[in-house]
Amino acid sequence: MSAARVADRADARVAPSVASSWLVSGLMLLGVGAAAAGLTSLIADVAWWFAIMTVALIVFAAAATVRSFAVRRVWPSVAAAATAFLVMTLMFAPAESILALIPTPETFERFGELQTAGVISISAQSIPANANEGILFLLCLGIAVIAVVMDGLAFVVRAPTLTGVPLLVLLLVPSFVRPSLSGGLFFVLTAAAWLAILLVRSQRSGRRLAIGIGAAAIAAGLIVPVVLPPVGPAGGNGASVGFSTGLNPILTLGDDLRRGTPTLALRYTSTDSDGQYLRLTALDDFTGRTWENSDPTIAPENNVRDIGAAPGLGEDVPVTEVTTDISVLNILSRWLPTPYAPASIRGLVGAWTWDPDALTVRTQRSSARGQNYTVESTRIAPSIEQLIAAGTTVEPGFERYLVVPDDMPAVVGSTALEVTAGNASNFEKAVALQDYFRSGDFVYSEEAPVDNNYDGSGASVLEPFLAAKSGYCVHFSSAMASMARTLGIPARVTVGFTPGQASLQDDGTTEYTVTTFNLHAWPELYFAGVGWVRFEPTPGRGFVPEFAPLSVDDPATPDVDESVPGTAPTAGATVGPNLPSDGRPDRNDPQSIGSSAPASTTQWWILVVAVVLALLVSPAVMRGVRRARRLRQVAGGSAAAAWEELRDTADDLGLDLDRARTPRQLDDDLRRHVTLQGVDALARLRGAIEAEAFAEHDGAPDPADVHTVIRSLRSAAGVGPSLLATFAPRSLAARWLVAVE
Amino acid sequence: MNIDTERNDDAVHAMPQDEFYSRSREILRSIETVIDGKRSAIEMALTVMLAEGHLLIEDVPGVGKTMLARTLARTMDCSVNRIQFTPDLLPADITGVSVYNQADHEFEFKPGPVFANIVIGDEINRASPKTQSALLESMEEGQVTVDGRSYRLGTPFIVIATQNPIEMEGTYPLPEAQRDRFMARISMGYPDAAAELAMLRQRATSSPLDAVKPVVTTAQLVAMIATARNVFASRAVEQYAVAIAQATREDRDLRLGASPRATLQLVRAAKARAALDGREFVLPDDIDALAVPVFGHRLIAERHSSASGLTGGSLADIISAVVASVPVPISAAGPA
Repeated sequence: MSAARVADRADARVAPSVASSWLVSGLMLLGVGAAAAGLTSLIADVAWWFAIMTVALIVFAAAATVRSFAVRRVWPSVAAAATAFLVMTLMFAPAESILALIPTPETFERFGELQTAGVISISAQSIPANANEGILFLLCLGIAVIAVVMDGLAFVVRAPTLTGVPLLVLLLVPSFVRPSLSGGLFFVLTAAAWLAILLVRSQRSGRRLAIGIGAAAIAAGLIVPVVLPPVGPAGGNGASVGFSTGLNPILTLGDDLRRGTPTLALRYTSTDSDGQYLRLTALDDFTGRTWENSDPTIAPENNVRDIGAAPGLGEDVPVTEVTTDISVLNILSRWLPTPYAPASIRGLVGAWTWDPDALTVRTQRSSARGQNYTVESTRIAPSIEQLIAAGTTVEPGFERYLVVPDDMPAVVGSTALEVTAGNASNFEKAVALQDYFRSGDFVYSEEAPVDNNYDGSGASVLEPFLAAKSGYCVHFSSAMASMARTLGIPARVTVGFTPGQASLQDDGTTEYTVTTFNLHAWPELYFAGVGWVRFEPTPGRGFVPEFAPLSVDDPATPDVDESVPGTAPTAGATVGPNLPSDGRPDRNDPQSIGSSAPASTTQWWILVVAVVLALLVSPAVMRGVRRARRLRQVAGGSAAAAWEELRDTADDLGLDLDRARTPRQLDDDLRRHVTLQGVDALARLRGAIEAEAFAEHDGAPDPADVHTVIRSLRSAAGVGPSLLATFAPRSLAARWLVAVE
Repeated sequence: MNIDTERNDDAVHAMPQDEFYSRSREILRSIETVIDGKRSAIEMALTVMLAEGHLLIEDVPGVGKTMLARTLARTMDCSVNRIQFTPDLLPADITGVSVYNQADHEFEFKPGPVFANIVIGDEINRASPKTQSALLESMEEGQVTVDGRSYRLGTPFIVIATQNPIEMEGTYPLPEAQRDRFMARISMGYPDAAAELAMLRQRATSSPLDAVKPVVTTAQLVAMIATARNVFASRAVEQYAVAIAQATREDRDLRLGASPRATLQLVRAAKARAALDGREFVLPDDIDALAVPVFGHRLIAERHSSASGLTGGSLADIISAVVASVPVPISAAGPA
């Protein structure tokens, strides 16, 4: 028996040996790997996992290596942080740094750009997201921070229990983004790694704690996703705006329409007398289960300052120049809302390119959110003669707009033939189709397709839709486009916004307010010599495009004439946009829009960050609550509370005091760590504690003395230990140990 | 020879705290005129005395064990007997003998040296076990039985025994049952250089012991003992003492833990220490300070342990470690 044994008993946190320190570093790496693997549900592919594991490996190894030599236990953390920075520089900003390692101001600029790009990518992409450079940067940065923090918790603070907090945060990220995504397996793996850390770093008493907390962590992993409200683009209240994440927005369009509260999407003013249909993307590919964007590779030189001519536009087709100023507020989208056909866009931030076929405008890294821009566009106003003159010609290169899936129900083609019987030209057939849907037989319903399980835009839903005659824009537009294709008319489905609600501004201009309720899908049909023409088959939505009336009475005109009165130019100019076209006039009230909570993936990320921050400060809060409670007890005359508080404060500051010390011994111990005023206050408190606990007198402790001693201890300890004491109070972990014991 | 066979209950009036304090300071000062630089050993000895316990002073020859015992006894104006234990000492040489009185035709009891308030047993482990047990029986029972008759010993009755470490030649180690009779065992330790030098000068001319005058009477000593007894030991302190005792019984390095009597004596000694410190209540610090002296000679270390010797500092280390591992009960909820 020797002094070493006394010390061993007294100090539960013995300094780790070099071997066990490497072992713990390895286990922490495993824990990070398992927890990060949980992100596979959010991020496509697995290459990014190897990248971040490389970062984690290097950081942990750097810390462990320095720990093998260093005397002071803070140096490994410094080395870990520095190494993390060097690795990040080497990986992400070698060109901006000297010898690819030494950072320059440009390095930080590059980091800033990557961070912005990452945040935008996260918000713009759907789940699973592609780990582009920005996202990878954020991932590596996060992992580096987590690695440094974990290493510090395990070895500097010597509270291996707390290493579970960063791991838990990492594990919970998928749960917060979408509850269904939590992988129980990763929870178990991470918990196992963490338990192993505890087993290595704790003595006997810690083991039961480790098992207890481990079980709790696993249970939490399984319960949290169930308890949390559903989030993410899957729908429900508070879901994100349709295009926030969708690679194919049509898939989530219904959810956005069904959302209880509209979210303000954008505002615009236009030189056109009418409101503008604003296009986001055109879905031209109908080979699979749904209408999709064929997603062509767009040359970066397709600068939006100079957009090419509208495909197929004949020289003699009348056009009107329109200027539209658009402010996007709350849509996160890779596509930019523009009127057709855009000629030039100014004022955009980020790199935007245009698609020569669809004339849609998109970006890789940026987002439509927050953009303020001006679109010069040409409004195409063909005459009916010109449209009819197109006949049934399909220009070369437009055959792909006629493709329909092999499993297309026969009823689609037969209905199309039936409806268009007697019409010769493609245009007349198209108008006949539009009238068929708007004739009154069909009703607009956002819920019916869901209730009857035929929601979607694929071929399989067309048959039940045509039978039920109830659906919303997705069904109408995809049905009309599909039928047009079966009739040999090139067709595609376009997704965007209806013109929105007009309000007269003080300066006499008309501003349009567009919300998520204005999200819309409509068919565009191609006519040789004219180009792409919008149709509006959805009853009660938007307005039917007008065409210059025929100069001669033509059999086709009644159809058109019928449609025109309801959507006369006057109506389009004044009433049309004001129509409560979605049947929810009350919700379109701008006030209600303004007050509605915007929800998007970014908000969920903010929530995640907030939760992370909350988790990080929660020990400080818990400690603060405990201190306040004890000080109340002290004010009430309890010296024991003062004693507990002093002991815990010393513990928090890492003074490594033996918890079996008597008040007098503690006084002696602490005396060396306080200032002069602290010594007196300490002595008074000690007297009060002894009187209360052992003389059974009234201790009458003074809360001010407790404050004095705490302040004195903290100021004597210095800034670093004080911060640690605040944010990673070891007394909490010690109390958990006691509680489990 | 002053034989006080009756307990004088009238004398048991507790002394006021402040008077106790000043008297005890006087005793300490007097002793320190003779034994310099051994404050803690002196205080410990006085603590045991005021707790009315028996004291075992164990150390190598020549460090002043007997001097401490004699000085301590000299400061009190009460009967003091000194017995030099030798291998041929008989039990009757301690307890006394019955002698036939020809005049009265009766056996008359001639009390031995044990009949005194303070009995100094020098080199107790040099006597045969039989003789040792005669002394130890009287220590435990406060009486002497000779030829079927019991005779009460004085009040107070305090034995201060000295012994050499058992490794020394010609010694009979005390069995554990008998060691248990002593409240505490202390050792003197060598004086530091300055104290040793001062001693040389002092002793050159005369024995300083002669200058020591009694500072308390027997009655005052009894009153002081009563005061010490009345010191308040809170429930928390009692719990603490019991927890330490139990911890010694569970410790892997100890073959024999503390007996309940040891716990009792620990608390009693702690009360005396608190009184000596001028307090009316016992602190856990008193328990801590006394755990080694009170438990040290009673516990037996495991053979595998490095502390398998009966004496030596390593057993003290085990006890210190046990004390350091037992939390002090502070909160109302009991041990944290």
